[in-house]
Amino acid sequence: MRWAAALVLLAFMLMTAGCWDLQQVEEQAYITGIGVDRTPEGEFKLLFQVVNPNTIAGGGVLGAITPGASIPAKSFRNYVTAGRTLYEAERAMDLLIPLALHTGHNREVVFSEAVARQGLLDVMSFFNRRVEMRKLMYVLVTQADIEEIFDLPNPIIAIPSIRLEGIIRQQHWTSFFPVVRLGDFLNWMGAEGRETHCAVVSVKPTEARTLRPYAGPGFTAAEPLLDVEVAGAALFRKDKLVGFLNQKETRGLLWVLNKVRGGPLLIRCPESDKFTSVSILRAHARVKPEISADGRLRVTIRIREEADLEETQCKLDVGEAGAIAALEALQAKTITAEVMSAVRRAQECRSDAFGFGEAFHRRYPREWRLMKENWSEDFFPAVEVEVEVDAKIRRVGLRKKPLTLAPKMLD
Amino acid sequence: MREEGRISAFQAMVYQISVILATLILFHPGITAMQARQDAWIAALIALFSALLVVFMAAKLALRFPDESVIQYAPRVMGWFFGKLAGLSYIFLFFWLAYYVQRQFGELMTTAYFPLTPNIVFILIITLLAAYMVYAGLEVLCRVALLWGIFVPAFFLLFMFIAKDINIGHFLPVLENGIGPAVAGSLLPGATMAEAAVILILMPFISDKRRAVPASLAAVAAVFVVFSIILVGSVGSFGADQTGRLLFPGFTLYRRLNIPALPVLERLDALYMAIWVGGMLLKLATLFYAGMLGLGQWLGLKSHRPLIFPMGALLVALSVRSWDNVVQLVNFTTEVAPFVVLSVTAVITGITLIVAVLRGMRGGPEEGGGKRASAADKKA
Amino acid sequence: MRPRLIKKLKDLLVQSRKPKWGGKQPPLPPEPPEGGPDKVWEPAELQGIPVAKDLKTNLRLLKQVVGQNSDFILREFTVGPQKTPAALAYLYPLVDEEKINAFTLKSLTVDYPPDTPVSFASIKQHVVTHGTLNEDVSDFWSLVLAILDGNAVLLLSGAASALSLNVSEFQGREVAESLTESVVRGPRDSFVEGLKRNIMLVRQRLKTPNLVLEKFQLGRLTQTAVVLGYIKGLAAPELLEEVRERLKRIDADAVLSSNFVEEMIADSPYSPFPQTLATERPDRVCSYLLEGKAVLIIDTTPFTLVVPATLPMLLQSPEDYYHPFAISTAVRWLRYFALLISVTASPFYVAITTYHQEMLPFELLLSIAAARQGVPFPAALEALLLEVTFELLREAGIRLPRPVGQAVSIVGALVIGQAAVQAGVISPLLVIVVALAGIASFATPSYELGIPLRMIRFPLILLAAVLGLFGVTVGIIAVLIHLAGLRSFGVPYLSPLTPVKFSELKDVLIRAPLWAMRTRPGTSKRDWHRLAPTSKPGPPPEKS
Repeated sequence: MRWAAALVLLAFMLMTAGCWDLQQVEEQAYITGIGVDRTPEGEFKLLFQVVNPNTIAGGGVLGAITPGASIPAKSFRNYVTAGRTLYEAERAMDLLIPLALHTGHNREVVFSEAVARQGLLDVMSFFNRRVEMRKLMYVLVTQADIEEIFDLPNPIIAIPSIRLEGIIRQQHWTSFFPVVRLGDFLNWMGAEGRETHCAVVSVKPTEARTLRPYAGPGFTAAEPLLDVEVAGAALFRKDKLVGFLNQKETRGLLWVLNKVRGGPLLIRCPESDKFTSVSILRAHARVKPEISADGRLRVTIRIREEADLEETQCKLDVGEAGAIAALEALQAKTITAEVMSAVRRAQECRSDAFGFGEAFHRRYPREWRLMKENWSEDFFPAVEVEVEVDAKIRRVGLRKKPLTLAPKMLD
Repeated sequence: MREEGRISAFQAMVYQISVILATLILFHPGITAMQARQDAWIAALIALFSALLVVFMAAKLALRFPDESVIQYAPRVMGWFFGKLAGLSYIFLFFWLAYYVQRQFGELMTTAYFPLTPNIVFILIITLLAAYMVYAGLEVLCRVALLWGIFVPAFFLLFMFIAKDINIGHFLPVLENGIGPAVAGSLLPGATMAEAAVILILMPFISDKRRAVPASLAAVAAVFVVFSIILVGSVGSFGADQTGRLLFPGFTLYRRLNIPALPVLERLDALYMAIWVGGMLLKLATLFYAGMLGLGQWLGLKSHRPLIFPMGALLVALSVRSWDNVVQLVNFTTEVAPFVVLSVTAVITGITLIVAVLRGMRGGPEEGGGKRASAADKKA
Repeated sequence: MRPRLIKKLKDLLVQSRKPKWGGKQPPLPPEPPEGGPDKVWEPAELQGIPVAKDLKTNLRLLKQVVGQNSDFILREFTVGPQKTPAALAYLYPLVDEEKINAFTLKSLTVDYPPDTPVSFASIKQHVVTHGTLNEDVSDFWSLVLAILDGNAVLLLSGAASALSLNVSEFQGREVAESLTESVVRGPRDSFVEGLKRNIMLVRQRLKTPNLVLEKFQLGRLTQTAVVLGYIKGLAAPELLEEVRERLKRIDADAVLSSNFVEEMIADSPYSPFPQTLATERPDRVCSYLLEGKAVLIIDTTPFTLVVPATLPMLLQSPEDYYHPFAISTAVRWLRYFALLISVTASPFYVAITTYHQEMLPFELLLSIAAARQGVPFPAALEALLLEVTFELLREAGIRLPRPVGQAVSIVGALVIGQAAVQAGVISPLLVIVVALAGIASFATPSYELGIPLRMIRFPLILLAAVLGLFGVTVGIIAVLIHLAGLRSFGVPYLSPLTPVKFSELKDVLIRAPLWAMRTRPGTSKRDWHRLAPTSKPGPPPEKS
């Protein structure tokens, strides 16, 4: 009897427990990309890219049901609202979307230059506080219009935000932009003796031309006119954008941060105007800070790098003694140049993305206390940087001798 | 008292670990990192040694009276009034920690997983489960605790995956501001680890009492290892600054996990929740049980079982009413909790031990045969 | 004064509760009672009637008690030179009439040795050429029981007892392959309904005098033989004492199958989990006997009970020991994994799709979302419906005659699976999940364990619907607490997992090589080592 009573009570408890957080899977709008911009009135403009699952999974292996229209539906929608806080803007979006917003699967957040220059501290609270916002999303800055970035059509991967993620995932082919996740970005932003940075995304006209515009079965529309491109890095001081690095400079930064995982290195042949390309295999850098007796700050960066020979236009016979060594020396020079250009640019911007300050903090904690207040403004630009590169070429592909034309043809 | 069954020293160790572990890895890494900054690992070491000291003391005291709990012998050792008072303070400590744990659990669930659900739902459910376990008794409690222990390797798994993100630089420079911050940071984890003093209540039920002392110390060492993993992992990968600002660093650490080869496991926080609910439940149940057992003995009841449900309801009410919001809870954890815990586990235990030693009192097979028993013990 | 009164009352109560045929309370009636064909004979009454010296009296009573049965045969004849009247009574379906003719009737009448006195002693020694005889049939209850048990009873004028001759012949099923516990490699024989044959199957495997089989008669009307088997020296005496105690406590009218005993001796009668292990494989029974467990072989059922049973035991399959250890270990892990799937798959689906969408890989999430578009039910209800359907199909599959079973599976697979998905009533992924869970649940070696595990799913789905993964976790923990609190004959249900016995984990977490399982698990104390360390195989040592 008592057990029965307890069971009834338990059942009541279950019934009154109102499934507060229940949210059916199909009743949610999955956001895959977020853009933040400013309106002319000074409010925040928030863009959410919402995926239309029917067009993605439609006809897939699971036999999903697609609406039987002959014209393919757009696979995503971009919603744009404005508000003085991002949360206000987000809730304003609820007036437009018949589904519950779900940010747990967001891939990246793109800040417009205007927002970034004004300072990201105000907006980061929105991203940092919410449990649903995963710290793994990518952070990017753009000088283009965020609405354009999130709306460029492309048949390869239809949803722009997913496409953007794909580009970022292929970073190891070039190392021309940093892969910065929200977690890293926030850590660096709050770090002492280091400034944060992130990748830059831009809009680029398509080079390929549509020669035969054709509309008919099996053919789709013309080549899209624009492409998104991720290249270069944005440098910050505190939370404000202060400058940009181009592709090569970005890799200069990444060398120091130990984040280069691959990419092409272009080397000019010694005897001609021709070039050789090697691909980076792995690299490791060590930063050694020093304060000299007269109080000057010096940083020595030692980089060990390994590469494979991929392509050469030079008359280079790798079998010859010294040929590889010569190539390695040239390679080291190229790397040094990249790092130095990055350092110069960062010093101009007064943004210590390299974390030299941290290095000094660790090695000279007592002196650091005097420097930490004005590190980026006063001390970082004055740091003397020396780069020592130990570059190696490990493999040369399937050929030893250079590719030559047959002697009789030369004659 | 009704016979509560017998447990082995190994099971007692598991019990002690379950008392400590769950909260130690919830709020504490963040708070320790906030106070000790990059020297958090030194704070953890200090905490380990201070906790070992306290627990060693408690285990020694418990071993002096192997067939009784502290509630029972304290009045004999320190006189009726003070002894009862000491007993009450232990009971209070356990209940207080219990409803404090309930609230912490509710806060984590609402913050991390169920923002819209009122936290009393979680508190109620976990209390019901804990009451069920307390009702089932000590042996069942220890068995479930051991089952949960199977999950502990998950922490090592976590460490395996984040090891590559750990930046040694985040631990430098060592002792930038002297030892002070490290000591301050060690207070809370030290106090929590000292909760292994629950051996004072458990001792009469342990079958191989001699091994209870090393088992207690091993329990402290084990939780230290897990705590260090979370602490070193989060400070090493976020930096002390960021860790100090996080409410639940262990949770954030899990959220950061990204295993490219296993995209299905991309979001391991569900596993974390499973470990979590189990851990908090065990912590609550073990504390609740220790408190109920002590209360039964303190009041001289035949069985504490009829009191389980009323007491559980009281704890729920206290846990809901005692703190207004999560910030208060965290501040309370930093500023009040360690002192309360240490004042009971270290101070009262210490006083009881000293008085017992000075008066040459010793429990054993023959009641009150203090002198003879102690002489015999010295020989052995 | 008062306590004594209470004790008296208690005694009275206890007496009244005692089995009616148990004691010798009713005084001996001077005359055998007369009764018509409608008289219901109580055991106690029959017990009080001794076998009389006068054959006529005995026969009259016997006819009254069993005479109206058409299969009752009473053969009267005379024995020996003095023409001593005698009678042989039996139920002909139960006995081998060949034996009666050849070894009993013929030797008593035609071939009776001339200079032999007529008495049971001499008949036993010189006349009847049977193995099993019992002279002590001195009251009518034993007499009737002997007849009902398939014996022929010889009544002799002038003897105050009867001689029961075991001529029974049980026409049972032949030993066949096990249906519920089939193996690929290993012995194929399984228990049948006859006790004798089952004991034979066990004895064939264990040729030790220490194998003890104690017999109990249970069931007031069925008088079912329950044999408690154990190996002396391996089984703990406390365990045996406890088993005997619990068997003696049973006072039921019938024991029709092993479950009648199982339910009566469980430690926690309300728990849905099986607390004894029922098996129809003699090899399995023997392996448990060797581990120091006790077995209950029950007449008229092919299922033998093993006690104490633990959860890990229920998850072991006899086949684990018939394959190399690496394979067995892998298969065992697969089975544990199947257990996990069968319990958690659909609750997890419900919890994740309704609460924790961020846990799914994005592509999977999108396809679930797309698939669920247009499904009219919330995921929880959908899952419950499908689970119920699955259980329906399973139950119907058992009940239906074999040829129709085919039709049911076609209807189940095609109509419900295909059509429901196409109609958009149920999302395809859920069908996969439920089907997977259903298949996984049959990978549990014990059918008795599989059912409660499947039943757990329903409350878990409800919890998942209300509280997401937290609900599932809470539900599973509650079940674990329950399991941790269970005991089977004093042995914790989850041992050796918890409380942990490290030496026994070798046969739970893995299946250690046979040569490495050197110690005996469980309750036994003596004879702990199963094999000598030299048993480990290896190449012959180098000769130098």
